[in-house]
Amino acid sequence: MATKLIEIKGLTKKFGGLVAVNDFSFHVEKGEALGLMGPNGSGKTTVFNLVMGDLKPDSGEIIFEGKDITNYPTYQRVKAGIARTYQVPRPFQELPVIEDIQMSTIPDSIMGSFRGRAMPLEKVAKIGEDVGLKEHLSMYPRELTMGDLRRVELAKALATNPKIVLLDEIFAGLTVAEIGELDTLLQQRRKKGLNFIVVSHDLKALAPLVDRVVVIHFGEFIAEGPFDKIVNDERVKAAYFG
Amino acid sequence: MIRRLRWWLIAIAVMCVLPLFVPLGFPVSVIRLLVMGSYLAIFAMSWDMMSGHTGYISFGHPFLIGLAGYVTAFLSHQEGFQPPHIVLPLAVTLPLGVAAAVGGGMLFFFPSMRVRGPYFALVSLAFMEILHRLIIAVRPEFTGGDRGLPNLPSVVMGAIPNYYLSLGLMFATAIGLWYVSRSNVGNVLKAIRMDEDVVEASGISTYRFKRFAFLLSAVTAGLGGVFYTHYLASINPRRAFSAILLLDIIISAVIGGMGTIVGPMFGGYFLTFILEYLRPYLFGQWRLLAYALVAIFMVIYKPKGFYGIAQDVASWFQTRKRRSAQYGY
Amino acid sequence: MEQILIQGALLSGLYALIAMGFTMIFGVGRVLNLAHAGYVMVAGYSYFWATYMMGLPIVAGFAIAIAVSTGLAVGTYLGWVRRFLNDPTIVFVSTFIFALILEHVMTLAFFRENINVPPIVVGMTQVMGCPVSNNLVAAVIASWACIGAVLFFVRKTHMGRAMRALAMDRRGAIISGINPDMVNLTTWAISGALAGVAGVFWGSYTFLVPSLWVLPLIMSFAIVVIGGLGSIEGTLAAAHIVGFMETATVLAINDKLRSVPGLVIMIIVLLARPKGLFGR
Ligand SMILES: Nc1ncnc2c1ncn2[C@@H]1O[C@H](COP(=O)(O)OP(=O)(O)OP(=O)(O)O)[C@@H](O)[C@H]1O
Ligand SMILES: [Mg+2]
Repeated sequence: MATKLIEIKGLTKKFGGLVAVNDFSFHVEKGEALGLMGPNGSGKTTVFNLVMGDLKPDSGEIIFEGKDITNYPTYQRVKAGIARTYQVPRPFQELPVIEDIQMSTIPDSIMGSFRGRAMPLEKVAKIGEDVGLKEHLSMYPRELTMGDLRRVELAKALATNPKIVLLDEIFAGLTVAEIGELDTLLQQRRKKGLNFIVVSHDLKALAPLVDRVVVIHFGEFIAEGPFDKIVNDERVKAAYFG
Repeated sequence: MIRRLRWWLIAIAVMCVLPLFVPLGFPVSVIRLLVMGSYLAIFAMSWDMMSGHTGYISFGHPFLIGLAGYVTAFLSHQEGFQPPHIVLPLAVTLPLGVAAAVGGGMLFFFPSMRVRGPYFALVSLAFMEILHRLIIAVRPEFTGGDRGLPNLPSVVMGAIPNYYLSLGLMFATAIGLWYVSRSNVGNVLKAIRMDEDVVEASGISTYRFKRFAFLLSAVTAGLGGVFYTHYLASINPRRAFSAILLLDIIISAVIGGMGTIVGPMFGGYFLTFILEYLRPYLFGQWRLLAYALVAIFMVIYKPKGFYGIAQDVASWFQTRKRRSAQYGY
Repeated sequence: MEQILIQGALLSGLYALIAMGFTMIFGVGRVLNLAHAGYVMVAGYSYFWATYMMGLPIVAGFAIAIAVSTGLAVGTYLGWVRRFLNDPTIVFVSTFIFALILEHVMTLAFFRENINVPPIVVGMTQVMGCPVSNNLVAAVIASWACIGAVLFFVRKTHMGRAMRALAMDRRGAIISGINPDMVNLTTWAISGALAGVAGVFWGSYTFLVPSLWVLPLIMSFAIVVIGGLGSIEGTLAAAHIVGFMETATVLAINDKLRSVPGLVIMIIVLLARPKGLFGR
């Protein structure tokens, strides 16, 4: 019990008649990186939205570090140590990248913000450089490519100082070399104790990063296990190709 | 620091010495207009603190202003109503008016924050309607009903003292709100306008920050409201809760530049003067129609406002200066 | 008591007509049209102008009123709202100002005095043992006929289904080949026509004045919140709650407090059940 960082139990979410997530359960061990796989429209992003509190589940529980956070508002989940990236990046259009990242470090208190207790810009710049945004720190979102916007997402998530990050397709739109760099960065962070749940279509990028994979199909749990075993699983193949 | 604030200091100095020229023939009517301009500027900045920054448009500012005004007017007017009531000194009624604006504001803030989207504006409008109805219907012998409360005591007498009073209030509001706007609090508020979910996802309770912005907005609207009411020396429901005042406030903020505090301040003065000087050319309903037509274009084409234009000009000069240092032209 | 029932039925019907247009536009396009009640007011004046100033027959008056309000609605949509569907703030501030513009134009044309519009149908009948003007009865029947027509349209026709699909799942609807622009335009036109019918009866029920739009706007917003934004059934039910409360207040307590009970219910609903009574 004590080794579980986050546990999702029987999560269900309906949109009108569509059951986007159906009685879905999984957990992440402390120190683990989990892959979440599933074909298009299978409900991966919806699971992330539920974990972050952007959507309210119809039923089910989310336990983080032993606490039931199902009814927490989003910001409290973030303060507890969960962060996410958006599949479709959502930068602040009127802010340069560095200020956008700094936004994630502003304290959640009026007096604290007046005293300027946000992270100093040099440190913010360091986070940006880590994800490969060195040249882009003073640019505006409209000047960036999709790949760079995904890096901004990652930088913003890391800047909240999380225990676990939900990564939604951050490799899409990057070159092989860039994926390699990001992989290296994420591996480093993992050694420092950061956990991940990674959603990616790029199985090559996923493989070295995750310890275990959970597969979702039409909102339902269908398989779980080590990466190599899962990609050869019959049910998974059927879900992806049939 | 001093260099950066140079223009501001000059502007403040000019505003302060202006009344000295009245004996030399400077028209008092302009002074009076400046008083009206100061109050509109206060209201516009107050609106900007909440709506201009966060994008939650308030239709309730006349409600806040009117509520503050009514409370102080009701408690301080001397006309003998039956049964006789206690007349309180202004030193007591003014703070009570501001407190009423804050309390009343919270009353519509809480229900409208239960849901996102345009509710805020419409719930605030509903509150304006409720207050308007209650004032004219419940015990009109106390509230003055449709006719309102006339002959209110003045805080200070005469155009020039009132000018300094309004100017002082205006500067206090401007400096306070400007400071907030420039701080991280202001940054969070502006980020809420851009994408509230993302602000929330960076671990910030947007509700906390909206509540703070609204509190400031209500305090400044109340402050402006009580002094404005005593300056006009009367209050009635038709004028206090009118869509015209609401439009004036919103348009001042839009033409000044939303989310900048300084812009809406200029907008307030500008609007006051332009409306006054247009008076001889377009009268009555035509003026209102023309004004509304211009207003709708302003909103649709969302210009940057004075503030944005000023910024563009300033940065143009700067690049020029830098270029001429670099290349000699 | 009978008076409350009968007048309440009328007011509720008119509110339902206005609020349905309001909520349909929100459901389909995710914007609020604050000029909506302005169309009601202009339609009332158009009917008055056509029948009493131009001497046209009543049917022509109706046709003109509906044409004018539909034209205004379509004009608002095509004129600028269409370009700002992704910025609801601009839409609702600009439509609010547009309503003010309509008020100013009507003031210039007809002055600020109250205009009494003579009844559309003359005579009295006995309903439940108390005399009721035929005009009221006609208005109730007409508004229910319109409500029925709208319900039929939304449930049974292709366009109606497209509207519901857009309201429920925008992305899905667009993927399945619905043209949101066309559906939006139709919705605006229908809501304009409903406003036209409401305007004619409103004028003959009370009187016309250029500021007639403010109260109907606030009340239809309250109705839509109580019923659940975007839910037509909820709007119908809420229109009757609000309409009867208002009539009872006017007749039994104080005419000047007419809007207060409905608005108080709205606030209670927002606090206790923000989705609205029938909201999903
Ligand atoms: N807000 C919403 N309203 C209605 N339906 C939704 C909503 N969000 C998602 N859906 C539907 O729920 C299903 C799951 O969507 P989701 O985005 O979670 O899938 P996904 O696994 O992330 O897909 P992808 O690989 O394309 O990102 C889809 O059918 C989608 O259309
Ligand atoms: Mg997805």
